[in-house]
Amino acid sequence: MATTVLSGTSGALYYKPAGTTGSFGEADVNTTSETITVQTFLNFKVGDPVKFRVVNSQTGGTGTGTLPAPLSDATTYYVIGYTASTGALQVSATAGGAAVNLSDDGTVAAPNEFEVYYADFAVVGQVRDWSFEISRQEIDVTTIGQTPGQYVPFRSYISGFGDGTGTATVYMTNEDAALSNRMIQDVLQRQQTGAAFKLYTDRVFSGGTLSETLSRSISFDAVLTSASLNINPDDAQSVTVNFRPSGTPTFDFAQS
Amino acid sequence: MNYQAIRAAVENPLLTAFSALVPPVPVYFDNITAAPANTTTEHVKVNVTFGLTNEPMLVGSMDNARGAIVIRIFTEKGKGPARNQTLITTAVNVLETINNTAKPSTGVYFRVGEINGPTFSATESSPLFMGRIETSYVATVLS
Repeated sequence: MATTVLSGTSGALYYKPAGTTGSFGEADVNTTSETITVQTFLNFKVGDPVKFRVVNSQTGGTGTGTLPAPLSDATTYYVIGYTASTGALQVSATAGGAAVNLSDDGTVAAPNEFEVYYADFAVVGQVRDWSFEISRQEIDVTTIGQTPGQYVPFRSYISGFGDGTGTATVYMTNEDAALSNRMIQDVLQRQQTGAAFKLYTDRVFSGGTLSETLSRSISFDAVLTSASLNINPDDAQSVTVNFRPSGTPTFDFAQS
Repeated sequence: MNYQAIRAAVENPLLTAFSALVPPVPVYFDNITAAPANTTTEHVKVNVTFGLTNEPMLVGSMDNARGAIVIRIFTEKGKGPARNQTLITTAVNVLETINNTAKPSTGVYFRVGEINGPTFSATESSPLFMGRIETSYVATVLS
């Protein structure tokens, strides 16, 4: 088979909104009001799909403990209420359904804690284009006092920290619930924890569903740094959102 | 995309405006037989073209029609531009009224761009004197 260049149209941008990761302990679970108290001023919205897990707050990895019953780390729940000023969160097993009837507080001991997070990346359908640049700091380690020969001495470098920046151009639409609208507002979101991008260079479906194996992508937790709105009589309204990774990106350019 | 609704958004008010004049001035749109080539009766020709229909995105596309409107006014030759300019004013007023209409919640949202002209010519469609204006437009069909 001939080698073919990837078309720009096979790209896509997936996003997890900012302020959608919260933590809580046993004492934050109220089995009477069916609420869980997480951090204040997060950005959970009604209908957000979320999952629960136990994490080790020191390592960031998987922790030990038992989620409050009947919550399961394998199940996607849906936010039905979040009060930013108090951090009170209610979830349902179905979108818009009744609150999950919490029967116990679960079991967790420091440094472990419960975590609620946005379930999975969601496609931002209004993205016209995205760009992502990664760079590496260079450190000059040239030895001073070299004796030149026929040619001048050359500088020597070693590589330092990595860094990255990204940009996405998003169309403004008349859809209130468009994830792109949320991405724009997330720039000024007080708590951006949970914000993450998955940038597909090649989004491939298999059997009608997105195949992560066959697709190629770059994913990373991110901070959103700015948004620039462009509104004029000639062009469709668009917004340029700038972001940068808050950790090391994961590159998946293989189809295996 | 509803091309008919977009076309109607500009053709209807133009037809209404020229029909309201005394005497009424006939307006010929795309694919409507115009006045005979050698007629000396003043008339208007309106052409609406669709340049771009949508905004492509990485995932799917959205409707956003853009195109051009050309309005040609034909009046009696050898009588100066006054009558022609009077009729052009009628057309320009219609276009500006469209732009000054508030955005509705349903239907077609239509806006024209800069209006170029009028330019005049006495050589086309003899024996009539022609004034021409043209402009771009942007239109979206609201759900």
